[in-house]
Amino acid sequence: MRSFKTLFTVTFGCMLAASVAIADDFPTKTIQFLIPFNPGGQSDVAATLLRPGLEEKLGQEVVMQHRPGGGGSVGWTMLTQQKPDGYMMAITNLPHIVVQPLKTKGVKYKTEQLAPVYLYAQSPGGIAVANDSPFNTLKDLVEYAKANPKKLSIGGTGKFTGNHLGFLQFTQMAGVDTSYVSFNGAAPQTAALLGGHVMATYGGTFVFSNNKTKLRVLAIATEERLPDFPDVPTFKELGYDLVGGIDRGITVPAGTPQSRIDKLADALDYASKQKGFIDGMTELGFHLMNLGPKEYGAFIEKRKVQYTEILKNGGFLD
Amino acid sequence: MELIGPALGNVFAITNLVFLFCAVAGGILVGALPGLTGTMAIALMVPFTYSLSPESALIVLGGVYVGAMYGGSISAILINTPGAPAAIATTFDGYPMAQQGRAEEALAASATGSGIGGMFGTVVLLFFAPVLAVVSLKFGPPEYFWLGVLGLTIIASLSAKSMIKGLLGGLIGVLLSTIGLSTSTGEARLIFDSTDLLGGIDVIVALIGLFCVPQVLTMAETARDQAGVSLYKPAKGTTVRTIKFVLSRWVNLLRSSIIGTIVGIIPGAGGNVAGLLAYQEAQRAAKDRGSFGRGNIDGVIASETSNNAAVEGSLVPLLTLGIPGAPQAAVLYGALLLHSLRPGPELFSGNGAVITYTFIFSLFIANAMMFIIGISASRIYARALNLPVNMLMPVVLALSVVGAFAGRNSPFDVVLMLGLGIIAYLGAKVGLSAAPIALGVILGPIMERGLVESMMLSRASGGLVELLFTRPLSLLLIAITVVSAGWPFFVSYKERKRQGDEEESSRKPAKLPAGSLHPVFANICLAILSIGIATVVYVSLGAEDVEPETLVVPMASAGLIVLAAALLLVQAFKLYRQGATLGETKPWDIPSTLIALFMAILYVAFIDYVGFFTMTFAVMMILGWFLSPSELRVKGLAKNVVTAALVSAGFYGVFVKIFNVPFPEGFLF
Repeated sequence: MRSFKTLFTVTFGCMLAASVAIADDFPTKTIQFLIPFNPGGQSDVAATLLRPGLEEKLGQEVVMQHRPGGGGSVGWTMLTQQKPDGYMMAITNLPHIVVQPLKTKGVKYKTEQLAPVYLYAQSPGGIAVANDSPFNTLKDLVEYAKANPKKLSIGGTGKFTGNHLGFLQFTQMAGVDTSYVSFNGAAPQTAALLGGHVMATYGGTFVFSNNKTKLRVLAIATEERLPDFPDVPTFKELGYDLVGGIDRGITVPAGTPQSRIDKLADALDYASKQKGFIDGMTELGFHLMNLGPKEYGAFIEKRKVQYTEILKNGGFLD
Repeated sequence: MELIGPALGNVFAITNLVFLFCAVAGGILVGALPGLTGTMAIALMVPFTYSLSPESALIVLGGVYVGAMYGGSISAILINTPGAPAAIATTFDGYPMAQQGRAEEALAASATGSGIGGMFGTVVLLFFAPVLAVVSLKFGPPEYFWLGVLGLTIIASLSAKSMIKGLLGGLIGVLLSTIGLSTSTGEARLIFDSTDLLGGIDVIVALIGLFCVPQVLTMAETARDQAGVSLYKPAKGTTVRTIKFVLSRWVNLLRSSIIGTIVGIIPGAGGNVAGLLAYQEAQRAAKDRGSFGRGNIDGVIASETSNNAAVEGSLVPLLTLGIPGAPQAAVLYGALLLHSLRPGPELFSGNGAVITYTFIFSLFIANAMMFIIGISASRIYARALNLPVNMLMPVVLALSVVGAFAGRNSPFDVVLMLGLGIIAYLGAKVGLSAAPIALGVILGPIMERGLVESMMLSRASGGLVELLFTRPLSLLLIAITVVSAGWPFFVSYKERKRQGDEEESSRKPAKLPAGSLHPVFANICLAILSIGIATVVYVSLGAEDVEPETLVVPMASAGLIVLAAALLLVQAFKLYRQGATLGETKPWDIPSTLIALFMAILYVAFIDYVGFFTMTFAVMMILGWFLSPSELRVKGLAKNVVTAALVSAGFYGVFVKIFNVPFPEGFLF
């Protein structure tokens, strides 16, 4: 009997030790990289560029898995239903993960259920008009909007998205009443501006970079001027405290051990400093960032306060 | 001009030709498999092409795009399931042709038409891109609304026999397309508190459900009787004869090429709309319009010529303006940017010009290769029809499951696919066909977005009515819509006046689906179903506190569905008074159908627990065994096991190894 007990203790002890060893060895199997958008989109391209560096650093295969739908909410809901073991991480965008749980009916996840790992890039927003527009400066545009309530049509992409929140913030600060027209993505948005169907557009600066010769950018929502647009003022320079856009990061399910989060963050830090990633992302007009788990978490909190306020001011939240 | 030499040199570099050939062939395969789309294939190739030179990268991606667009027609013709949404109009006549033993003809016509359409589009891209790009920008929200409506009018010509049922199908389709998050307002509707429905119903999933599942169940209806029947008998010279015939239809080719290119250039419309509009125009131009939908080769030519011309069309705004005309082009855009190529005039004049022209020239070669591959392989594909039904049917069922899952890697989509499929199967028994529903699903979003964006725009510009009805391009589209919608009525009125019922009686009416209900009863069933749907919609939407833009299209569709129900009841009363009788129906092997249905449900229900590959293997075995004629069951067993094993292994190779689809593994595999 005694020997049996010993045997049991030894076996159990070994198993325990083994499981600790496994935790230390993380990762020991393939890692799933969830992209809650369609293949070929911005998030997909970013993940594709991150993957080689991740595999190199983690020593495991990283498999991309797309789960599009509901503006990303279907994929993020799925992430929160996974075991918090670090074997699935997801591309995660702001303001999406803050605004969806607040605003969209049927969204089941909560912002807190996504544990921040790494913030790798930003896509700042900005306001632009077509080349032949009478508005030469932001001041022209604001004056027109003040003199003609509702008459100024501004194109954006979707509602309660990065562009829409930027638009809301700008119009709230300028104190103007304009008409927001939401298009299904950057392509129709740009087409509508160039075709003269809307008078201005609030969009990502990467879109503007790729259409530089056909449109005039009036202001950009960054702290400092962008190298791609040395002559375009920031909103801040013009007296609007507006800095924002889409913040692109990576999260895992809440409850994942901190050691594993740190390991993933290290790998992401390595991957996002590789030449292939930097070159590709820069070509695509992303503004690169390197925030680890702590800073990224604090960043999300800051954004949350900011977005809630914008929505409340706009009368979209009680 | 000095660019042409180096560009041609690039195109004909041997490595590029090899790349291009593989890309086109791979594209055809992907396009032919329902569920795998050209967009997915191109996206998958982007990381691979990142290590290539920009020329080679674009050549590969363009080749996949061209090949996949054609590939969609293969499954459309053989198993009545569009391999991609753009091939939907190809099913209308392609599948009936295959059923008449003319599969090779249909496939050859599709390859020829696709090749010619693609060449035409490439010529336009080469010479007129900058001019046409400006035209594409004239399309604003009101025009998209009318374009969607115009596309929906094809329902009128598809279902001249029972316009109300066609309309009802279209409305149900539009309603299905509104489920989920409205991209324009960011608000959810008709989701019944489900996160999965929040993502909406994917077009691919809907198409597979609406077309594939009824096909599978219909195959089961006659499987045991038709074990030895060969649908396709190879005859020498068919392909060459068909190519010659297709070339003699130059008016159709030219018309469809023009339609395809123009619709392709309009961003957001793309091949899906192009094929439909060209089909409709071909039907309108034909003398014997009644033969459309019964295997008229002109229908296949029109659809396929047009959707391949739309490929190059969608590249016009991409290369000149940086505005992709189709989802596939959007992925190409990303690839262009990754190679530091910024679309715009500089792409045609500056340093990038050689690359651009290399790409455009390579499209000529891609189309030629697609034509050659298509022509030489059509006899091989057509043989798939001669597989015993007990083997073909489980393969199609497994393909549907794979296809529904692969698009969004979602088990829910598989359930949705089967549910829609069973509804479509039962719908056929009461005269509700799948095609109008599919049209509604495809065109609904284009129409809705156009309308909602117009509503938002009208806040700035003044009235909505003014916006929709005064712009010149809108008026043109309205005029075309009115002509399109009214034409079938006009023609049937003229025919009735001139020759009485002479022509009608000379054509033997097609057999109705097995188990069709008596027309009066069918109408009553449909009316009850419609009122049920409308009630659910109103109750669900009534509880929502959202913006009017979120609700306008689903509400209006539900309202029109009620109207259709009322008309169906009136028609039922008339039919009853006339003493209408049920036409001749096809034979129905009820036990086989029930087994097939049961196995399909079991398959879908247990994938998550047991594992995808185990279930696929088991279902194929059981169905293959049960559906074979009893005397062949023992003899065919070995063949059965081998087929099931090969197909499962093939799925593993293509979907898991190449496309990284994370199939549920369950407790087995």
